[in-house]
Amino acid sequence: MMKPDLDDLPEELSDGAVLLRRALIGIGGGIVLIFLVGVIAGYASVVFEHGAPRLVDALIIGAMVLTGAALAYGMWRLWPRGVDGPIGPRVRSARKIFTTAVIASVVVGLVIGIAGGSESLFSNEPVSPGVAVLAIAVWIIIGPVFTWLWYQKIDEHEADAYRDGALVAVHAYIFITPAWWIANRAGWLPAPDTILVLLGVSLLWIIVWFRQRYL
Amino acid sequence: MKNRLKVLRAERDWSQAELAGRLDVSRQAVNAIETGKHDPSLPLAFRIARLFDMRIEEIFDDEA
Repeated sequence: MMKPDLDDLPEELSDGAVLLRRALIGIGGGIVLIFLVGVIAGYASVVFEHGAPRLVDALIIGAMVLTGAALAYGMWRLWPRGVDGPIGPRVRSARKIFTTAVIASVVVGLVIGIAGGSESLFSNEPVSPGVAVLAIAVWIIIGPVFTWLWYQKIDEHEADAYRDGALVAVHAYIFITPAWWIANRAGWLPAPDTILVLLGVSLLWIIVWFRQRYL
Repeated sequence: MKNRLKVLRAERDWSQAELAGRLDVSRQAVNAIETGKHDPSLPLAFRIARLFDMRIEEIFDDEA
């Protein structure tokens, strides 16, 4: 007689539910944490600018740090573990590479954000050569290396989803770009914005990858 | 392509995650194979067959 299928038990969250909860906790909690870190840094810098901190200032900063720690702990406790289980060495390597890439991206983003001061990469304003060199190096050297390492480790199902997304994205690029270019020459649209096209096709890539991978 | 992966897995009381760990693929890959959304490559089909000590055609049915 067939034994009950553990993955069909109703108390187990589906992939979609797990991802949704992780996104809500990660994004929501992450935004609050970043905001809190900013408030602490700002408050501390003002306090130290005025000489030695008073006891009340230290208590306020301490309370904010404790709040941040409690929030981080709450996120960790509420983080849905879903249907994760034992994972093989290849899958573990792929996850490590992906996690490392995400952490490295955040660190580099913070470094560029701090080093660049008022310069923002997310605009069409001029940037200094130093920021440009760092951003380009990350994008055309570190990015491809991480992508290649990750691609070598993912399983065939994820590779299929990744390639399907890439196929749709590159076709979208091929169809959108000349059409926009022609429409601009006809005076119907402004000049093609390469970054807007990049964001559009990247979003399409992610949607197709997600659908193939999780739905 | 139809397959008996879910039945074979349930007979051994393995979760999808456990089977995925034994095959060194993700749980999503096992789920996709079981539901017929993904046909495994020949190397993965052989790994599955060896794991269950069966022939590939005893697990996968290409006529379905």
